[in-house]
Amino acid sequence: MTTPDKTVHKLWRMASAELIGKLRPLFAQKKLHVLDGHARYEGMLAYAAKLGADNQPQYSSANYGLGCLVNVEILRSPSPRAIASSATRASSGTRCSKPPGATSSSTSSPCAHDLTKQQMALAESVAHQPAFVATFAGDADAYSSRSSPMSRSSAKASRFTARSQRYEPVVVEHLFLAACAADRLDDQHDAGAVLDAVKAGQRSA
Amino acid sequence: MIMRPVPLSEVLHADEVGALLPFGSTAFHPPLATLFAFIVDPNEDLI
Repeated sequence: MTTPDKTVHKLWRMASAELIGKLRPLFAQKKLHVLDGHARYEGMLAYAAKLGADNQPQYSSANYGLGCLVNVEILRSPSPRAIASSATRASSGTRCSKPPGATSSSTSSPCAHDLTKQQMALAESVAHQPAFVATFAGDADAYSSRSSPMSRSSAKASRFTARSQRYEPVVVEHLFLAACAADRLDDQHDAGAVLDAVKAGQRSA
Repeated sequence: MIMRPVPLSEVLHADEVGALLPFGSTAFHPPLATLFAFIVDPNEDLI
């Protein structure tokens, strides 16, 4: 099937005992990580237990679930988010600056509306330092962060190791967003929709 | 707000120390959960 965003989804139902027999030993020795849908996975296990899957025949539907194995190369970043207003930028305590070569003053198109320029600015950031690019409703420019690691930040950071306090998601969630816009965020997977909303001056997308 | 993709090494490290990355850190687009459902009928054999 093809979704409105032109993404083509292909789903196969595995109904071959031979294929399942080959896959089982392949994965038995591996440690798989659930990257998305943890709650659904736990729910699936609980439902299987409720159905008494252990007492069902090997190929009973109760012993199987829907899953998607991915190449880690396609891992994506956290959802694009629309932040309520540029005022949060100042209140967050995070130092933000316009990405070099990607500001509204250097082009005819404001950077806040140009995802490509933002991605380029992000790609040019130093690999081992937390980095993100943020756009704010009502602001024509985008801003790249120069956030410091969280060693000096709130008590919330204490549950993370020093190493993980340098990860972008942790920095963004607990240093930047929690400080400035925790209750004024919309999670939105479609970056284009977010930028359109920002362009329109909306505070949510 | 956009960020660089989370490398697997960071996922593994968070797992090793028993931590959870913030919600949505490794979510990827487009999601499948809203598109497909797996009907579970214990009396049905998949093969």
